[in-house]
Amino acid sequence: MMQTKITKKSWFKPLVLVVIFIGLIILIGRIVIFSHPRPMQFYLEFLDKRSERNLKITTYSKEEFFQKYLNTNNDESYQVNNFLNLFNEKFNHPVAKENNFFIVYRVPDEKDACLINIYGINKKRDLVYVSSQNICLKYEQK
Amino acid sequence: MNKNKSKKIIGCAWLFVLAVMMSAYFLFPQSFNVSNLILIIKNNYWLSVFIFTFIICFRGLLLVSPLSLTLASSVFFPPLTALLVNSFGILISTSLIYKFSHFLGFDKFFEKNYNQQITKIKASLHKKEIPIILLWSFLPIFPTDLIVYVSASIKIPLWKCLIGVFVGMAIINAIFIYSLNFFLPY
Repeated sequence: MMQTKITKKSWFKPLVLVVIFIGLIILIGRIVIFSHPRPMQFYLEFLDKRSERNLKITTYSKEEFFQKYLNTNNDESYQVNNFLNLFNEKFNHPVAKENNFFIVYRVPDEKDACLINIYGINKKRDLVYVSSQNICLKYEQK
Repeated sequence: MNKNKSKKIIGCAWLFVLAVMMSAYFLFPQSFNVSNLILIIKNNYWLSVFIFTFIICFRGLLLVSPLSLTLASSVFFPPLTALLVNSFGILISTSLIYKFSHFLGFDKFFEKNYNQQITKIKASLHKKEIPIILLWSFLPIFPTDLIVYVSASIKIPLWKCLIGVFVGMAIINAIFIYSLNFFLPY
């Protein structure tokens, strides 16, 4: 009886520690990945590479995104609400997915009908990612 | 039937399947486009789920990384289906590796390629089987099949191995499937 109790205790404590450790890894991973364009780029490329989709993914700070896609340089527009308003003015497309941290849009490309551009905007941090994917069947393009 | 003959038959069957798949890939490259595959899967949904479950269950025998298959499946199936199929497949493939690792010669492969890691795992597994297996399975940088093989070789009960691998892989699979589906929706 005594031995059973000792054995149970011997794996219960490490199990609790492992669960806490995993929780911490997830929490820290989430904070690090969603805080800066570089770790986000790394994470998205990892997902893309392992799922064999070969997408083109680029991450930007909101300032860089504004300069490249919206042709504006106004500091005030980097604030979240202004950013989203300006984004909607430019692309005018419904939200595809949304959670506490990100808003994701799927917008058809203006030049290429086969391309869908995905724009992910972090609501709280200075982070935007853009990804393009081909939705046409290969033999249709020929 | 002796062991060597069985191995030869399995080896020939594997080479035959591989040759058929490679030929199909080179003869009909357009069919292996993601959009095409999604279309085919939509038209034959339950058959696709069945075939994919079969692949996931037996991927352990070919030592194919479970993470790649999980992420690939989340492109073709809804997130919940992908998670359930993968979780079920993990239970089966873990059991197969546990039971047949010696028969298929995985012991030689692992001892040759991961000798140092095996020594460390064996030392740390003592009396902390489930937590160590769970943590190892959760971390994507470590090969999950390796811990299953080591568990089998030092006679850790199969149920402990299954619980550890199932929980660890389910957590990491759920994170990756959700992330891929949310951030890069197809």
